[in-house]
Amino acid sequence: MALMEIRQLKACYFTPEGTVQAIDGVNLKLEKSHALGLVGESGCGKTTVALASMKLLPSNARITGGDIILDGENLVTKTDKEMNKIRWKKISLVFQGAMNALNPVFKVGDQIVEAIMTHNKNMAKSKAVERTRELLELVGVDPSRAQDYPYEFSGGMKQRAVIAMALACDPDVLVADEPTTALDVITQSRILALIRELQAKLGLSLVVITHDLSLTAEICSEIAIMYAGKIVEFGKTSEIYSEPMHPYTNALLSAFPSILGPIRKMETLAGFPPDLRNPPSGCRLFPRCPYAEDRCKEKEPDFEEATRGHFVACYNWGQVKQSWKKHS
Amino acid sequence: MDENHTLSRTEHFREEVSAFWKSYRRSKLGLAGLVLFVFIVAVALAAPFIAPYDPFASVGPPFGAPSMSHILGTNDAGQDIFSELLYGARTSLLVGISAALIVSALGTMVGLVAAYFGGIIENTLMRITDIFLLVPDLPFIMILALYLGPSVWNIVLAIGLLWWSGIARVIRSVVLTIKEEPFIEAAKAVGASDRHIMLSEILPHTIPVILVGVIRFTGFGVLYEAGLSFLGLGDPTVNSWGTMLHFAQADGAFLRGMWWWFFPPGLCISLTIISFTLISFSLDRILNPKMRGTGRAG
Amino acid sequence: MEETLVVQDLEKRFPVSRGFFRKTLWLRAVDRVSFTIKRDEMVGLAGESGCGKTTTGRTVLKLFEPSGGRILFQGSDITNLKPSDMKQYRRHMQMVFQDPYRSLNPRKNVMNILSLPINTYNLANSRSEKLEMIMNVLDQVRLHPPERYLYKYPHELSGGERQRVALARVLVLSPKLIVADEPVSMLDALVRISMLDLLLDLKKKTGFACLFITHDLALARYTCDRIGIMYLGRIVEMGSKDAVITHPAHPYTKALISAVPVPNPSARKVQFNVKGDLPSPIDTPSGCPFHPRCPYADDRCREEEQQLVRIDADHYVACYKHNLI
Repeated sequence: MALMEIRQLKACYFTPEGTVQAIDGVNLKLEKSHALGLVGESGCGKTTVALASMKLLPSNARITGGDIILDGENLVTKTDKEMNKIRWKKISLVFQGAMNALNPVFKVGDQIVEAIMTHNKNMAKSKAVERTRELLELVGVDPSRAQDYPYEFSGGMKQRAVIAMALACDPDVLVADEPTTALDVITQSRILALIRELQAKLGLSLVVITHDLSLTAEICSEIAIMYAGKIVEFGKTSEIYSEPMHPYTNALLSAFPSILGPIRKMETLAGFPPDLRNPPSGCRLFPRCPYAEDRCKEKEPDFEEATRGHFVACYNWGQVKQSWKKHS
Repeated sequence: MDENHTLSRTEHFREEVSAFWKSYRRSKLGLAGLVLFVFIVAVALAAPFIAPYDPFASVGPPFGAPSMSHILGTNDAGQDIFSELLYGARTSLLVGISAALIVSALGTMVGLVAAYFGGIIENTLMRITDIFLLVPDLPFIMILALYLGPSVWNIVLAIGLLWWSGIARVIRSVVLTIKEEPFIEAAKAVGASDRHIMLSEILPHTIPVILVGVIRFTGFGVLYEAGLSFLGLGDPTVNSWGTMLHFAQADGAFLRGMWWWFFPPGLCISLTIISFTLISFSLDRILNPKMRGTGRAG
Repeated sequence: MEETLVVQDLEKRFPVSRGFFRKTLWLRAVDRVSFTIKRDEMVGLAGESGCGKTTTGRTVLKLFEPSGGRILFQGSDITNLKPSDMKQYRRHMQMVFQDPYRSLNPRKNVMNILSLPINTYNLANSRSEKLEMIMNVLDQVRLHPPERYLYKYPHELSGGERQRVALARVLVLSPKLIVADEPVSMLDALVRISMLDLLLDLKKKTGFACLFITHDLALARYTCDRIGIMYLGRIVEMGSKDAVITHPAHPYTKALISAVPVPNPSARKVQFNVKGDLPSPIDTPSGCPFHPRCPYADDRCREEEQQLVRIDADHYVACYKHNLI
């Protein structure tokens, strides 16, 4: 049984310009100790999924349907008070840009201690301090640096500190939203190595949210591709890269040049994603899809299992699979 | 992205105006201020048509109480107070807005030039600004008005010479922020002249701040004109709310309990300031959200 | 003119004030950088943050005044020209900026934005001529139909569209050199590729030299003819993209390449780890700037500054140990 399963999750935002259906039927499965990559371009709804999984959506947003099953419990029906017992302890989030959200006027160590004590009301401060040292060591930061202020930390160290904070209560699941976006290449590879290490050491299950398909190849065991509020493809990493079945996955894969191997001509899709205030009734990729047919416009294809463990929402997945094989 | 409809320039403008009005409408206080403003301005403009008498003509008995022919009675020279009040609005508003315009023009120029060029130019201009900021308002304006002589325009000048420094500071800080934006660097990379960048790229961003300032200072201008005229530093040949109060006091209206002489002008001054302040406050909230730290540029 | 841009020992220093009574330190953002760009060539400057690539790009265009060295644009020495004398050259050396959300004035519509270069250099004799030029260039950057974009404001455009407008702003001048500072790093994946293809296409059609600044080595490999790797203000390796990416000679280049993630889970990468973090550019290490982190460093590396030496037809490296690694 999967550790976390998201079924047909829907959520929307209320804005002065209209209601935005940010996510409209998201299906994900995270196995224990696995790392799931959630990949998509900006605006596809991936951050909304992250926030929804922790019930941390802003006040103008609402979950309008679906389930989030974590360890047998459905989080969607839980109250805020009940979620407080689950957040940070069972599931934790490193949100986008977290490393720049460290409070500049408090020492890094103090901020981690505060996070620990907020979620463990009865813990003695000395214990929290000790735990902070443990956590810093775990993420590869010299514990004596707990006395420093954020400006004295490098980008990579700040990201490690923020990860340490998220791991304070030993969660089962860690959701990381764009964990390496603002970091340099070498630092990025170190953070990825850290994540791999943490997985091995703690048996941590991960959801890595990113727009970067080169990243997910390094650390994820499963990948979900997201477009316009929906998951369009889901499967094992090796299969997604070698046998993509959705035209959008195809396009994304073609858009990341590689530093190794032959230099391929990169291809792309013209156009933009649909306006989610008024989503179309058919397949959302229809206007841009090279495999589009009439039935794609009329009725949206279901998200179905095409081959074992590999799900896709496309009528023509067989064709797509064939042409990618030829392409590479 | 609206694929199917090309907006022309006028349509764009109309859309912006209606979006702005929608935001402004939401503020009840802002609307109240606007209503007051419209009323006062309308009255000032319509004075020649609605005033029953010529304010300078002696049309009744001196110190007359309110009656059917003189709603607010008459002053010591037998002039109709109500007509005085209506015509007085024109002078007071004129002084207010003239002062506000001078203050804004001067202050913006100084702030813009100082912030754009930096270095020694900025230092010099800012030190001069600081000096003017330190000088106490009322005494300075009084002395200047006294020195320059009793004239409406001298009051305007006196106010203008003092308040520009506050605007200069504000504009300077706004320009300093804008100056760092990539689109300014892009304009320099294209090869645009300093003059173009200051006037065409940067200045438009300061207009919301300037607009709010003009409105707020008009209100204060009216107040200061009233104050100076009341103290006798104004122009006695001109009719304004301030001069009305001056004469009211000089001729013992307070002692005689002739509230219909001093209360109406005082009330009008207060209402004018309230109206302008409310409008500028609401405008500020809409046009300058960045200044309040909520992000998005105007 | 074979070489559009020749840069020799270029330097740019920034003073770092440490308070009233302490000596001013100098940040050597660009530390004796030399390279050339031939006509129609795309040269990439790659490196991590703080390596000086962005400052180099701006100094080459005289947006910063150089602290030393020489800049030759189409044979003319522009190093010490005053801003007023630069105008005639500026027209032919332009820049595309990184942030499509902030490099366009939010209060100006596309028509105004594209009028600026035309007006600055008096390229049009009438309003209709100006309009025609603008429509042409919008067409060139594939914003179709051009009329639809004329009166749009930046906030009504997507990131990709904004960047195309920024490119159009530059193209209308028919420049001979374009410095592209991370032109696609803030764009989405699919948009990125269409933008790069557009740039390459236009380069082929209209012909201009391009200095492509990026932190993304995979992207540099895709777009550029030659690549220079920068570290703490210096170029540590330079050459054809094949030479630098496939046969890196400098330890830092090797470390960089091994750290770049590959969109292929079954790819086998060569591991090359270095220790430590990027040092502060204010207090650069002595000798070879990379020595504190280099696994092969020795005394000579600590004391002696390395110059770029030629090791192959189009391959230069600043490391005397290159063939020992």
